[in-house]
Amino acid sequence: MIHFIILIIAIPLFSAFLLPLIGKLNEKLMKFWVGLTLLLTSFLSIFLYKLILEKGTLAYTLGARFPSLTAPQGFPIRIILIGDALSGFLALFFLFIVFLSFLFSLKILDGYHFLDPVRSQNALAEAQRKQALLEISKSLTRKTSNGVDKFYTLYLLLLVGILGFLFTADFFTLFVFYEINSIATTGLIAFFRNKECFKSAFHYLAVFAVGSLFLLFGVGLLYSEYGFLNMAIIAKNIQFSFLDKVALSFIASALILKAGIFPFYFWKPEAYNASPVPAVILSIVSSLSALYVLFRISFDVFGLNIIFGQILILFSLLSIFAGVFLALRENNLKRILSYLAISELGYVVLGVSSGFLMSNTESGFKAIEGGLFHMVNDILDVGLLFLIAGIILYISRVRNAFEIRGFARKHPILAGFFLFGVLAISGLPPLNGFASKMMIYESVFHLSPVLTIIAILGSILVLAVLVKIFASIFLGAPSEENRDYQVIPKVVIAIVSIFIILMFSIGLFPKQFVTSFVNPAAKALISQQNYINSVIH
Amino acid sequence: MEIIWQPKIALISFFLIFFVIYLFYLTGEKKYQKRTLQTVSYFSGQIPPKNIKLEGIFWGFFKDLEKIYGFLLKIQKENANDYIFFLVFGLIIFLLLLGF
Repeated sequence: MIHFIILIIAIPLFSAFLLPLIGKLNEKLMKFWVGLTLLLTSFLSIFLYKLILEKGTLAYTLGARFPSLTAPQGFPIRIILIGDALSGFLALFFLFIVFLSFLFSLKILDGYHFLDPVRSQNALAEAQRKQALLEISKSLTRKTSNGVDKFYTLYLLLLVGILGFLFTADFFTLFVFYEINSIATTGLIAFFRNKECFKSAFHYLAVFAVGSLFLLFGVGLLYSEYGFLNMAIIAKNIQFSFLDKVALSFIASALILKAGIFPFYFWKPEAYNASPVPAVILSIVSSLSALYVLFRISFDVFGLNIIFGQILILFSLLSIFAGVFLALRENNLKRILSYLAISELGYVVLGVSSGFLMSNTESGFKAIEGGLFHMVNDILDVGLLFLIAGIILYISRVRNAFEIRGFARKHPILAGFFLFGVLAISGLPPLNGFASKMMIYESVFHLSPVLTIIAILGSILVLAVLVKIFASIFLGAPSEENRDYQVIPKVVIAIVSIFIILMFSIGLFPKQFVTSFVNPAAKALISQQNYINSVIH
Repeated sequence: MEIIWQPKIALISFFLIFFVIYLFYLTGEKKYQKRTLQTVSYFSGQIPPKNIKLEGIFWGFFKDLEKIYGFLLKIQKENANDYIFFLVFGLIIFLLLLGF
């Protein structure tokens, strides 16, 4: 049963390396294989979460029977995975979202041929060749690669990186998963093989090469000081010396870069704009998992440091404002949504870092709950808006949704769905965004009312951004009456509906959701001693 | 959260508000005709400018915050050298804030 932790990471990893081979045989079989992998991993995450709730925090050591063998008297360098109520819940929820985004990709991904010059040329050349060869022999026609097998391989590898982030309990494995995460994302950004995508992928690679070095340097400093890579053992011995502070700066910078919040958010609009929408959903999940690691390290490894908490609060407020300010100015739908994603992550950080400063108080705990609750709502709200952006681009065959007008007249249902997303992300009742933002506003007020005012102002500006998008794309007279739109696949509508149902359910019953999932997760985050004891008995 | 946010009451209130809006809607003009002057926006007798797009609705906001935008857009120039510079610069700020 305890092997569930390693299986959740090993199955998608094994499956990813098998995919190119299966793709050579049959594309449908390959897609079925990906679906099966995700389904199996999701079921394992359900069982794991149930097990964690029954038995408490679980520690799994690769190559040893007991985690304590990694202690000074044993072999200090071993891979340790820890599953607790927070990582278990996030894995469960993220896998559910990733599965939905996979179903979305099945119908939508093939519709983006027009963005890929290689694929369009191949298609044209294929058609011409077929025409010419048809008279000679049909058997001479050759199937060209459409790159979908590579997409799903990278997709699963990115998932491995995300799940690794959630369960890793030693710094070197964290570095390895950081690298997997970055390389897979680079490939996904370049998927469409056009000039813009290659440029964005190169920028991403360059930035994250430096980010990886930051992480490696920080980990190296800790290793040189303590002689261990295990987070729990370092947490037990931490002195918070000058060297520790330097290590924390390097590690936190690398994680903030991966999360994409202020001051390292610059890669996000470019990368999200170039990536296919299902990959963007996974990237949002990846950002959230990086935030999880940041919180985990802040609380459980380095302990509560007031200055670090204050820095995080400052960054969160600047993220909220930089995100909405830049979104207001932008005229590209996917880039606007990327900026809003930065802004929403600011709320998550604001909640948790305020809890950091108000530790051991009821308001502090509430703030942490609010921040973690907003992690769930962030992926639902921003994810929904990205899905709708993906549908608009798919059915209208444009690079930027701002090229079309009066979309609501052609597709009123889509306009309605978008409106739900707008209301939710702006924190308006009765949707989920309101419930978590309300918790953050109320609890952060006890730290400083100014923080609450700034956060509310940020939400109002988010609404202003979305009013602009909604009015520009959906309202008014259609720009081209005779534009030939593709039909929206029913499965896609069903997936978007699931998102909306979830948003409504969480918004209408927030107390039940918080009590069942968020409360145990927040308790797991703040109990440093429990985290250390799970490894060192 | 328990005191202020009552989802059921909020939902009932929304339905009531929508019902009232619907009643207002019923009292509206029934002789509305499409493709006539009734559908053209009224600009106080002025000829509406053609070069202003809907995306520019926050133009005054941008004008007022020109300096802030100048700084924010500087980071966002999509240049790898700039990205690395800001990355290292951000790290130094982080070190200064946390270390001293």
